[in-house]
Amino acid sequence: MKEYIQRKIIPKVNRIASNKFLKAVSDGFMAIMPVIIVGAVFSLLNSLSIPAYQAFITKIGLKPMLALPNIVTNDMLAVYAVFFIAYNLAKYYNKDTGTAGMVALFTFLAITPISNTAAIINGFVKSNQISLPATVKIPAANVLTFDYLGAKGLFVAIIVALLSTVIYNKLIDSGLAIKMPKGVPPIIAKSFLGLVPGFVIIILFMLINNAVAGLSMNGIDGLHSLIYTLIQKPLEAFIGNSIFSFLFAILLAQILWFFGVHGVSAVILPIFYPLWTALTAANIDAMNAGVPLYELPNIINRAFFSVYALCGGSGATLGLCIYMVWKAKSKQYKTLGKLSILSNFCGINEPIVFATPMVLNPYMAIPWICTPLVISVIAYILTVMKILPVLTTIVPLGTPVFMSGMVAGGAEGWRVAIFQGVIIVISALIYLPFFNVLDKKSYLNEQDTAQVDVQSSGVTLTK
Amino acid sequence: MKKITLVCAGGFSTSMLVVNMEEAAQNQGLEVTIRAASETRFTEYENETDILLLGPQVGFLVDDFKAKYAAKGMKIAIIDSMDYGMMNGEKVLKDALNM
Repeated sequence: MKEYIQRKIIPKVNRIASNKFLKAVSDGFMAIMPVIIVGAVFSLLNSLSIPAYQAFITKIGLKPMLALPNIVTNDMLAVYAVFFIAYNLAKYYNKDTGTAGMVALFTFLAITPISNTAAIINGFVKSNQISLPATVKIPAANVLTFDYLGAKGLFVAIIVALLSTVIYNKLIDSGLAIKMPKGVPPIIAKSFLGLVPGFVIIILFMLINNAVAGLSMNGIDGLHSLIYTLIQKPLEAFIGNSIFSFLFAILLAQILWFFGVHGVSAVILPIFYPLWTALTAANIDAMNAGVPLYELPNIINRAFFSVYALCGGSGATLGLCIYMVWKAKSKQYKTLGKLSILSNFCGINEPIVFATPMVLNPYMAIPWICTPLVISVIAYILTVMKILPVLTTIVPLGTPVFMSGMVAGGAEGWRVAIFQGVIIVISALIYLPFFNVLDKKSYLNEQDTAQVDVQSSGVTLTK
Repeated sequence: MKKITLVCAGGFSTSMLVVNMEEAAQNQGLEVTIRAASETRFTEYENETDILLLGPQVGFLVDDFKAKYAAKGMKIAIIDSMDYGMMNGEKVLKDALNM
């Protein structure tokens, strides 16, 4: 069985995990983490629902300043995503990363609707049947509306970044790029390298965008609205904000880990993070609009994953780890517990995963897979019951348990932190019956070898 | 002086192992440079690496890395998962230097 898994299944899993497109998306989303966190933390400070605090920040003029960071981060998330996904895919192709990112970015913006203030005002005036005096001059300025720059544009960002970089790579490999003769400084040669692909890619996407707009489908005026209505919205509704698909994601990640593959970076990051990020951004927007923490639209989101399901690393092993330090009989597990407990508090638990081991260990498969599932279900139910707040702030990897709960739950963070304490207990309870079997085995082994050592050194053992 | 780079998904858990390996190197009076990196940032160290060790959780990348760097004479291996779990710096260092 083990042989079969190692020979047949693991190579297949590996192939999926090392797929370059999935990796580029996941690396891109990792790269924009600071963008999301900066915006979320300022939103939190801006919308803390304490009346005295709100009066204070409004009075001293701090409120607009607290609102600004989120506007230039989360509200423009797709702009950052398109650049960094292209950047990471270009890295894989060994092409100039910055140029690929830049081409993807202007291509993305070229298919994003641009309005003009005069057109907007004229439309408003006309539809409300207002007549303006002839002397009134309507200001005309081009504006890029935020509609598709943020969470709503994330899927287009992914598609544009991947496609444009694939084309960029092909064009450069096929020698279509402008090559400078030797002796031209490399920096200049580099800037010309992006020129032909840049033209080809932007023209191609503008043509597709116009063709889509020409389809005259209801409510669809270009690639953005097409992909948002036909792909992103249904995905968010059926896959994103659903406890069942969330559990499926966890199950998949845990099974991959069981085969020794980093499940989070293999499937969660590339496939589920884009969806969960969009859901988180929608929560932040709602929070900024004054919706209370318990009424926010999306229970399932990025923070829900890292604060609950990943509390103490993949498999939520923190409870088990504490038990190892405290009560393990065998030296092996006591040592393991001690060496991993601090990092386990910060969500890093590779020692536990590989030395317990969880990998390819049938004894531990059940608790390994069930613990994060059980925790997620309980957290979900408690959030529906409004005992726990809906989470908003994304916490960076490596944030210690309790602190991550405090941050992610905003003003109600203490409840989340307390529940993380409960998670530790649940983790210990589920792992224990299975762990005790391993511990006992290892303890007896240690006794045996100790005895053999003593006997072979010529001393008789008397008890 | 040998330069060893350890790679995993985020560079977190390998950095723990690096500390133990450095300690082992110091105890034995070995002159080595050891560092940890996330796999996406490895390119920054590609010219600074004689021996590349992959954390077992990113072992699936071994073929990619070999295709890219083996020709340059870089030695590439996946760290034994038990040694990795127990953060056995001494053993991992010894195995690496014997490659």
